Amino acid sequence: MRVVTVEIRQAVGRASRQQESDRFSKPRGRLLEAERLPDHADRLFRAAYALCGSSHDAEDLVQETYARVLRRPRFIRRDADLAYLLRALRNTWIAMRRAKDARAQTVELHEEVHWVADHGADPGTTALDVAAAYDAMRELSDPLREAIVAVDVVGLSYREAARALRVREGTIMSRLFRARERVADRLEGEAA
Amino acid sequence: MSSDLRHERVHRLLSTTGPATPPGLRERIAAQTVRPARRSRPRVALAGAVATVAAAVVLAVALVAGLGSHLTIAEAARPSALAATAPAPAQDARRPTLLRASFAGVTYPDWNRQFGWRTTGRRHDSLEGGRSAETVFYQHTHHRIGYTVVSGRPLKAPGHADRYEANGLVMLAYKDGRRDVVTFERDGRTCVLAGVVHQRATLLKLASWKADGALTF
Repeated sequence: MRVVTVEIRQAVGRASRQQESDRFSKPRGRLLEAERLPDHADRLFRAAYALCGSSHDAEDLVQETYARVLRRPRFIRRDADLAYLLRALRNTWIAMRRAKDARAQTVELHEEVHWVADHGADPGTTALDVAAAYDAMRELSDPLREAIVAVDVVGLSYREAARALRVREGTIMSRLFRARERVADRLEGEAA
Repeated sequence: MSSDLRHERVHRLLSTTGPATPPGLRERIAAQTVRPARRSRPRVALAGAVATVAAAVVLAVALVAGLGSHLTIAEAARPSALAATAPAPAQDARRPTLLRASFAGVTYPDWNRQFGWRTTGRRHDSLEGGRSAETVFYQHTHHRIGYTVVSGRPLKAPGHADRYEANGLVMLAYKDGRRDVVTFERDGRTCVLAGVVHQRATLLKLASWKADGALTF
């Protein structure tokens, strides 16, 4: 027996027949499991840091993203939780940046960042390499940065990244290529 | 170094290293995750969800159990394809979203004002196992459907049906030839809505209409 969960409005009579049919005949997705969301905090913080370039801003961004997502139950259609969270993070980042731009300029203080390496990291990687990579990402244009954050930092597939950023898969691939090229250039420049 | 190797290095670097998550961030997020459940609105939503699940389980168990009856939903849907044998019930003047007709404790809705389905007649049938069924017929343009209420305990659910939920009502639906059949439970009775319609959604919409609060599921 197939299970389809739908909800309808009282005034369904106003909706077109096709819309009505879609609402009843297509699964609407699944409820985002709030309990599991904190598991993605590390990945999301890295993504936030890559977008903001500041640990404090990244922390604010991650907290605000979770606050928005958890404000009400969320139905997601096809996305994985992490892809959904990345999209929410990006939208929140855009909103926060707009608000920040509207306010008076603030002076960025130098902050010390602790870099961590996960299991499977290249043993030869140094903190300087990681810092250089994140610096290089900061200098990328927004579209390139978002692509490399989605795929390399967060770990989404091309398809998931394309959905999360609402662009085509081919666009993700070409942006990712250019973004990696620039980060690689920077890393090689640091090493030289 | 080739382009692939350069890219692989970047990918590996970014996917396995990064800034450490600030201490306390995960705990603050976890606290956010818990807090909404304590607020009133999410609690209502949660209670609603639990009630819905409970209702679904009760209905599923009741329908699947069959409760000793051999009468099937398909047989209960048969009267809706037959001719009416009695005049159409009128609208209840005191409760205009309902008809002045009820059977086994279930009152029939008046869908005319809201959806344009007017009543055209009714019939009474004796079914297998000493049960009886009352059907009210509705018509909209050239489409005719029957709303059948079966006496006694709920019938066994058809195994091949799709399951829907709307307005807190769990419905099972399947196709019987050209006809769509939707079955659900109201006040402990099996109700069957059947007829030839453009969209199954029409029957689901009608079945789950709460008549401005006059109908409870």
